[in-house]
Amino acid sequence: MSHTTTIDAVEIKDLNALRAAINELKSNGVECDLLENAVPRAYYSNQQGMNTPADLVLKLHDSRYDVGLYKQDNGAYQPRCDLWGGDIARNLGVQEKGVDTAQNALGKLFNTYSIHAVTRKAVQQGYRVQRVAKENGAVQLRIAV
Amino acid sequence: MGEEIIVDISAAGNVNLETRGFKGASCAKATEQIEIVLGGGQKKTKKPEYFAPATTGQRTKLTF
Repeated sequence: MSHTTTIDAVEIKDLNALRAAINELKSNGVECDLLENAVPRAYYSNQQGMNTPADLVLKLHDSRYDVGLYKQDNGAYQPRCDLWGGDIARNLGVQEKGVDTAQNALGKLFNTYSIHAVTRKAVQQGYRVQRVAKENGAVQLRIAV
Repeated sequence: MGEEIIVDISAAGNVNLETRGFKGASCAKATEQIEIVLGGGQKKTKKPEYFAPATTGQRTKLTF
C-alpha cells in the first residue's frame, strides 16, 4: 500500500547548498526542478503527510511522485515522499549496503546536498577544498585548513 | 603536513569526518561548523592526536 515516508538521515538546512545540489543533479541527467510552496505529488492526492503545501518541492519530471521538503522547528527541511512503485528510487536512488531503503531511495539528493553543504561552509571559512570522486558514487572532500 | 579535514560522503549521503595534522582538541574547533551544517548525523572518530597536548604557539581556530 502506498504511504508517505519521512527521512531524517541527513538534515537539509542550507538552501543554497540544496539549490547547488539540484543543479548538479540536473547536469547529471535528473530531470527535476525546485518549487516553492507546492503540494508534492503522491499516490493519493490527499495523502496523509503530503496533502498540504510543502515549503519546497523537488519536482521529478520522470516520476509520478515528488519529494516534499517540509520545514521543521529546528530549521531543517524534512523530506517526505511516496516510495511506492520505485519512481523516486529510479530518479534519485543508490544501492548502498547497510543503509535503509528510504535513505537509499533519495541517496543522490543526500549525497550531492552533503557535498555542497560542506564545501560551502569550508569555503566560507577560507579553506581550500579538493573534491575527489570515489567508487560507487562516494566522494571525498579534502579540506586544507 | 598541514592541517587537513577529510570528509568522506557516501553514495547515500552519510558523512564521516577525519582530521589530520592537528594536535589536541583544535581539530574539534576546526570541524565544528561543518558538523553544525550537517546536523549531527555524521560519524566522528577521535584519533590519538586528539589527546595529545597542543604545541606552544599553535594556531587555534576560534571562530569560523
